Amino acid sequence: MNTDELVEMLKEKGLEVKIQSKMAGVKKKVERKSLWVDVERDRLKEIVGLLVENAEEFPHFCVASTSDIGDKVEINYHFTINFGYQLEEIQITFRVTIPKNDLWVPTLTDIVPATIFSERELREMTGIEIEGLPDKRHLFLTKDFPDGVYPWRRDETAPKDLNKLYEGWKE
Amino acid sequence: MKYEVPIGPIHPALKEPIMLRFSLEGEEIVDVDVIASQNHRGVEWIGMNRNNPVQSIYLAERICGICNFCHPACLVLAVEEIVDIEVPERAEYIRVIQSELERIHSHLLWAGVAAHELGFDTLLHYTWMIREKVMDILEVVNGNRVTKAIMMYGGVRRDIKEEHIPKIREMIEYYKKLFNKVAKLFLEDKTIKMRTREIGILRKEDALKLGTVGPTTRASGVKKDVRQDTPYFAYPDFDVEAMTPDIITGETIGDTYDRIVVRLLEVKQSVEIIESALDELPPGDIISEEKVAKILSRIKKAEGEAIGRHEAPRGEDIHYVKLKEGFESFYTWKVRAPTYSNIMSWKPMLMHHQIADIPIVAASIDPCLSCTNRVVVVKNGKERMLTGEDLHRLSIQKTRRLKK
Amino acid sequence: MKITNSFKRALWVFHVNSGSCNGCDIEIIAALTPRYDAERFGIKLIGSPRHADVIAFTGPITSDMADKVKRVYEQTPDPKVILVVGSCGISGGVFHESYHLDGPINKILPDAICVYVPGCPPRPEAIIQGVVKAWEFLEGVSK
Repeated sequence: MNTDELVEMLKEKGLEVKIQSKMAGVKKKVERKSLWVDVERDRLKEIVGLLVENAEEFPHFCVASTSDIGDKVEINYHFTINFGYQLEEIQITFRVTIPKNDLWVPTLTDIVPATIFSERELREMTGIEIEGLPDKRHLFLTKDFPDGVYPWRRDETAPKDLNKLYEGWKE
Repeated sequence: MKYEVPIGPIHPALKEPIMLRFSLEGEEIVDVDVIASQNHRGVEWIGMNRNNPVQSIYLAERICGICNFCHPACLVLAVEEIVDIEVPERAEYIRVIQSELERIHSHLLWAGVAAHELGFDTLLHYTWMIREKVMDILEVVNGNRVTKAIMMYGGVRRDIKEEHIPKIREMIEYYKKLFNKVAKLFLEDKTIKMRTREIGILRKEDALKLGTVGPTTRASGVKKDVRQDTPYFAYPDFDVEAMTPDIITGETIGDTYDRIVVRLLEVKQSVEIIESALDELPPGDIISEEKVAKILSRIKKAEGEAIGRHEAPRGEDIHYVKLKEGFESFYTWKVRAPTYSNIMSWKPMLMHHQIADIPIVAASIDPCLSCTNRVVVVKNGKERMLTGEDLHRLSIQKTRRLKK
Repeated sequence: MKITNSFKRALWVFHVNSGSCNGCDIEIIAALTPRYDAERFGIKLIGSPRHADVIAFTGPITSDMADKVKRVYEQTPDPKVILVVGSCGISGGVFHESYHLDGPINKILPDAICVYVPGCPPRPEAIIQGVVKAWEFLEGVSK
């Protein structure tokens, strides 16, 4: 399916789609587009399942990234579909916003097995609980990293014990 | 009865520290577990809290020393989309040439390492000697062999001058003459075929479901290549096609031999792209804004988010950047290197194989764990440490046994 | 530099990577390939610390690798020299203020004898010069 069909399908489900674009190429100028969709937490599995059913080949999951915005946390799931043809890939991102006092999301590993590493990393770096995740060990931080310290957050849980070597040099 | 064998972080088989845990039943592997926390240096945290955006380009280069053009390239693509910086035409062509030069050096490096895992040290020395030609060109054009610092928001920092072009053309001729010889050395050798044909098969459904990228997935028949699918730099002018092994061998199985074929085809493709880019190099500026302080103040006033993707030698590389007005560093920066997605494919590839096959299959996805950020084999309840030297020795012994 | 009779064989080097970006590692291997060819002096990379004379060390030491580095140092027999390749082992390099690092090498092994080769990454010729300095030191010790 192309971009217009995908936007139509998401609009029928009541979702707003924002499109960002930038020109690329020198002799043959082509537009590079990316789609950004806001999804509620309860509908996340339904919408990702819809993408898996309707795409021509299994959609490609890139990574899940997160931002800390005050008292809420945003999670972006980056997918691409329609690869294999010249210059026709569609980059689509689903964004879920959750409040910090209710910090959990459902797992996507039963629909898209490629999300297992991303979800383990989200869990250790931001403290988000992933409901239904089979493997809850640390991925990149060591086993004895202190609990309750989350490197990607910007509030009181950010790491404070830094390896500062050059403190006091100017004095 | 199950055994588990741990392969601890420091071992000479793979040049980077990673812990692997394999479960064996008899001599066959039934489960693989990866513990990769030895290489985590907190790069994203440094970029979000301590560095200004220009310092983060130089930090992004040192995420990986082998594929050190792809990370600044993705970062610059993402920030240029948010801030809407124009890039001159000559800079886009120079970016394509630099990216293809890096692809040639990385694939020749990998070919040497793969030969070393099989016990062919002569091929290691031969391919690394051939690789020195492209390292000479990188040094002449950029000033340094590794970590070149060529990317900047709005263009590139160094130009390809008139006196460099004859040397680059000489390198192109050198590689064109040698391609058939290297292909014959790797693809028609009976022992390499015995060690790699039907070993480490990754089927197409597994490759799609696990989200693998790069030559690993193209060898299984999935046509994914960011240069073909998404327009960026000057790649739409070249009509790049994803290389799959049926171009040379006529069929796609998805084993280790196919991955060697795909990488050799890509070296040939890169040499052809550099040649046509040099023929059509447009004149003009190489950067749209020369003063670094002006670029920094423009970035500080911008707000938005974007993703940047690039085809590194190992696969698709993606960076996500979010900028907030008034904030000097990036507000959010997420890096996902290609080996991150490919490591999960070790499990279906290594099932029901022997321990001696581990080095060549593990090296066939071209793991760059410093990009990812990281083998323990448990044998029947008793923990026995197998060092990398043991693994390497087992692999060479299997080659000798097959040769008899 | 005179090669005396007391040091009867050439240097064997054991390579330890404690979380580096691999730039220094590929320059160490490039120093052994036919262009720079340190192997003609008999210098080779071996697979076990128990036979090593020189430990070639790269990378800033991440928290995970600190105790493993100490164990490798203790397993190597005397006389030995540590060759620190790259700026990461000297001062942390570009990663110096991270939450997952345990400091440069002199915090982990304070009484080891080190030859420092700065650069990011250093050229293969500089690495060979570092190995030669280590060789001179070991010659002086074994006299």
